[in-house]
Amino acid sequence: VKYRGIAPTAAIAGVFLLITTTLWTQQAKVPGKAFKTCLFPTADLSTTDEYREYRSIISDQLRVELRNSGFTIVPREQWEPARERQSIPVGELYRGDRAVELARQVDAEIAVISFYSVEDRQLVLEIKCYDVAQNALVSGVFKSARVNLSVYNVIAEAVAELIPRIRLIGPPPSLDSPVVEKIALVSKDEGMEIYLGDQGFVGRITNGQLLLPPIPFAIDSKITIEKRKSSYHSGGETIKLKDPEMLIELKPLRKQARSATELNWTMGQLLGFGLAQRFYLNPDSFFLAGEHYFYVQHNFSDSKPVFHHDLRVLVGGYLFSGPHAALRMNLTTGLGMIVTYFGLADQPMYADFYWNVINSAFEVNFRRYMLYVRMEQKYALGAGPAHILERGWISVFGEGPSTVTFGVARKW
Amino acid sequence: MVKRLLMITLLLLCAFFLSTCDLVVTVLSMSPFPAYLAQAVASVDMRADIEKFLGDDYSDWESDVYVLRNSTREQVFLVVRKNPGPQMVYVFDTSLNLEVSHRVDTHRRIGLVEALDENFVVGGGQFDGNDLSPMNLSEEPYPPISEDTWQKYTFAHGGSNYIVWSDPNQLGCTKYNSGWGSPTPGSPSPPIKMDGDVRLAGLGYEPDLVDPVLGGTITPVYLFIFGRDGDRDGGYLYIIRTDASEYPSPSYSYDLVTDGLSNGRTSSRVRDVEDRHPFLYTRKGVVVGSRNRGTFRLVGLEGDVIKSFYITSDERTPFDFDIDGEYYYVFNQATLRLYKAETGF
Repeated sequence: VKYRGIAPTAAIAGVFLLITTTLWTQQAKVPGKAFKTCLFPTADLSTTDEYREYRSIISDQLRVELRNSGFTIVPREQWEPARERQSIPVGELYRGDRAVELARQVDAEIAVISFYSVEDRQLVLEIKCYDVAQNALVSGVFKSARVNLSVYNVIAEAVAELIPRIRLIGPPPSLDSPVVEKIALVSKDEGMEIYLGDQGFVGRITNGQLLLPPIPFAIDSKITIEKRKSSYHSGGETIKLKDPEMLIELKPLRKQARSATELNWTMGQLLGFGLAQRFYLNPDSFFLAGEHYFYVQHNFSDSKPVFHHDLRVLVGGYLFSGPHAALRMNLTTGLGMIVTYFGLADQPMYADFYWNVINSAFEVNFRRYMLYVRMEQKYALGAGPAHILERGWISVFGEGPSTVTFGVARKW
Repeated sequence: MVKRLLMITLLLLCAFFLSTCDLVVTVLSMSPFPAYLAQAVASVDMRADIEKFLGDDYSDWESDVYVLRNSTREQVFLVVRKNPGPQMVYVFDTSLNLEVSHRVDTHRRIGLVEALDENFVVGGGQFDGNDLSPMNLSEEPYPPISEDTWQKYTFAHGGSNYIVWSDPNQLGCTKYNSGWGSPTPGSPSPPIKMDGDVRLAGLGYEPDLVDPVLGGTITPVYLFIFGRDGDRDGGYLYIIRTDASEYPSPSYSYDLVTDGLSNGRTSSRVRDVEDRHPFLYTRKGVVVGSRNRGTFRLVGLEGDVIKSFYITSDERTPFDFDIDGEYYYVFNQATLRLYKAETGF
């Protein structure tokens, strides 16, 4: 599923964001040391070219923010000859060692690299800042987000987080600064792959743990790792290195849900219950659902009950937050039919067709379960050979058009 | 084991208690479907008859339901009316057995029991208990076809039939003899004065009650006066008791609502009502529409709200109540079925 028109929307949003950021940073400008900084082009590590427009958006925003914060940007014309001499492809300038080497040749103090990838519409962005003299990572920011308009907020957040850390560079750290000697990662996600910035893949969790290769990270620095496992959602985690020997328990990954089974109750249909099955076209994102709600309409007197079977097919998806979020929102729409028959003798069976115009649901998202409340807007079509409801909103007790459903879902 | 039994007993007691709680029953009875479906004790399929009558003019028609009672029986009447065109009157007993039907070529809305012979008069037809025949009602001053005849109401007393309506700021009344041939124009100058934006929105009466104070028989006529609160939907209601013997030209010359009547009584004001449906009289109280679409209230004659209940949010659905307030009869224009449903009053 693709968003049509995402490129123009992205361009407009990017320009707007750029202007906003520029105006904002003009006011927030803080004088500091004018570090000579090499800002290298943002690399797109995605497997397709579909998301390459983010390269210029991220680069431009970094440039504006660095410049407004008092950094002196080394023009590309200065480092380009050195790059050509050393035959370093532009596409490899996201690697820290290459970037630091190039920056050193133009006497820059700081090298900033950035790269991202988009897989399954999940954008993973990393920005790193190196102290050229020390050949050391000073600061890094790792962000991930769904590919929608919130991406621009994420980019802005990442840049905003990075800048204050660069300002804190101050005098270069001493060569005698203590470094971390051993980092052990502990996780229940057996077989989970661990990626570490420009080091790339560094190992996988085996027997519940992984000992990272010896990399001389400074004490009190932070590292950001990416966690990947087949059939699970990738995740990132930033770890502050406080001690020479670190034993770090990683947060578990979320399993990708391929389907979910729902049990729910709807106001106005309380003498019954609904069962639904979701099938995710994209794990925890877009889905098709089939639902059957059976309920009895009864007056609790001598009259006979009426039985309703509400059958519907829905298609929907989540907005704003990813599968790791504790609170999620989704929208669904679809078509349905309510079959009605009577306890009273000699009554025919009826079928009312309706358009389930829009449902908006808010979910509390646990690892295996979801609790949700859903506002439903149904519109009776007033069509068919034998129907009871006239054309119009389906409402309960005269109030309309919203109906509220409470439910629980088990993810599979 | 004992604990488990105690728990089950406790749960059953709770369930019993909750089932007797009006609010719980109301909430559990809520449904997106009309309430009368689950209150129905009988229904009759009128599809074949109505489709035969409507023919190709199926798209533009309307219907009314009347429940009328004389001293011996109660009858249910369904009127299906083409727009414009003739109407068909179907007569049922209270078990919804179709007794007779008749096509009449007039377009009148009227339903009452005639004063002398106790025939039922519905639409343009007169039902004597066996046959339905056209009624020769003079057109003057009975409203022409184009007028909103919901605003005219009828009662019978002392051998005469009466039609009452509201003109701006006053009530009008016309008296007919039992044959409907000699209208006696009312003299609204002024029969009853009404200040403000108010109108007659229903009428109920009880023929020949024994007066508990003075003895003898009386026929109280209850006028349901609706006034707007300024916005389009909402308003208020007064129930005003008058006496049939005062019509057609009551001698009151002061304001009906503000001052009341010398021989009558004005209820307290009932707020938040609406007038999409006429206000209907039963012996359990007056049924009035509320501002919550499809929800109605049962109001006592003193203006006290007895209960709220839901019928349907479909405003085109006609219904009427029996005089005792035990059942109501409602016609679903989608299914073309007439239902008899319990009121629960």
